[in-house]
Amino acid sequence: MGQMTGLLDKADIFKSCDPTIKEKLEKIAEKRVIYEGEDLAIEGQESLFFFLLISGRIMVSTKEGKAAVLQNPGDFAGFELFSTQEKYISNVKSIKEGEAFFINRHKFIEVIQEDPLMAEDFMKECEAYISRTAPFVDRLDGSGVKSIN
Amino acid sequence: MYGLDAISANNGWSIAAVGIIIVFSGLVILAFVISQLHKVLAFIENPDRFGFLSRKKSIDETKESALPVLTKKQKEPARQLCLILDTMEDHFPLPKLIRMAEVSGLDQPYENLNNLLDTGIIEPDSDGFFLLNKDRFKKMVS
Repeated sequence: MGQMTGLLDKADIFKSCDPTIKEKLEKIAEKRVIYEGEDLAIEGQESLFFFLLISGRIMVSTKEGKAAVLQNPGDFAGFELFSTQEKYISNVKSIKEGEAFFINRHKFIEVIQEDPLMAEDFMKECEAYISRTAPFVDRLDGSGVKSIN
Repeated sequence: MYGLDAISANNGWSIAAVGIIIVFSGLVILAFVISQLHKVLAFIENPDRFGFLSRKKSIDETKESALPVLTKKQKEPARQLCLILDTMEDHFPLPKLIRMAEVSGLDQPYENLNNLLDTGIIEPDSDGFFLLNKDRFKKMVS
């Protein structure tokens, strides 16, 4: 079992994923060092990756200044994963050096869509995770686009 | 009929035995209550020392002692960061604090910010903003 699969097993939002899906996710994930002060995502820019934290600390913030600090292995940033606008709607900044898996958004959606039931479970887990870690983030709106207050 | 015969004929021995048992039991209970009275008085005077309250307190103390402690070198930048916080609202936006720390030329702003987060001097509220825990700041930095 690879590090990525181990991390996915720990992460609440991926616990419902099939082991074969986890293996596929491991193949598309790129492990990278994240440096203090590094901007991982900037609001308005094209949403290419989402981030699965291995170590370190990241801050997810909105333009209004609301922020959530994520620091547990398996924490997840990239709330706009299902956004149809394909743009980051929040900023993600590394505030403590560590490591993270960068997962290509398009490839991830391709993998997760192989099993529609699981994709639905994943979205529910994702919503629950957001409510827990960043309660100021809105739920899915009618158009299926995540937005942040 | 008089004397012991009368007592026996009217269940006097049984009644006397029951009476003795009742009185003795009452005295035992009274003695026990009196022997424990000092605990009741102590609880009224200082409830924190007893029961779940003391356990809760010790859990809080354990949590508090599990937090990392700031070294002498870390205290000064922590004070400077908190000075910046004085110019901001109570529920402040974390990105703004980082920006102001960078603009004001604070040495290693991220490391110092992480120290404040690790020690719980800065805590998130439930609305996406952050708060300065003044008690913890006084305890750890002053």
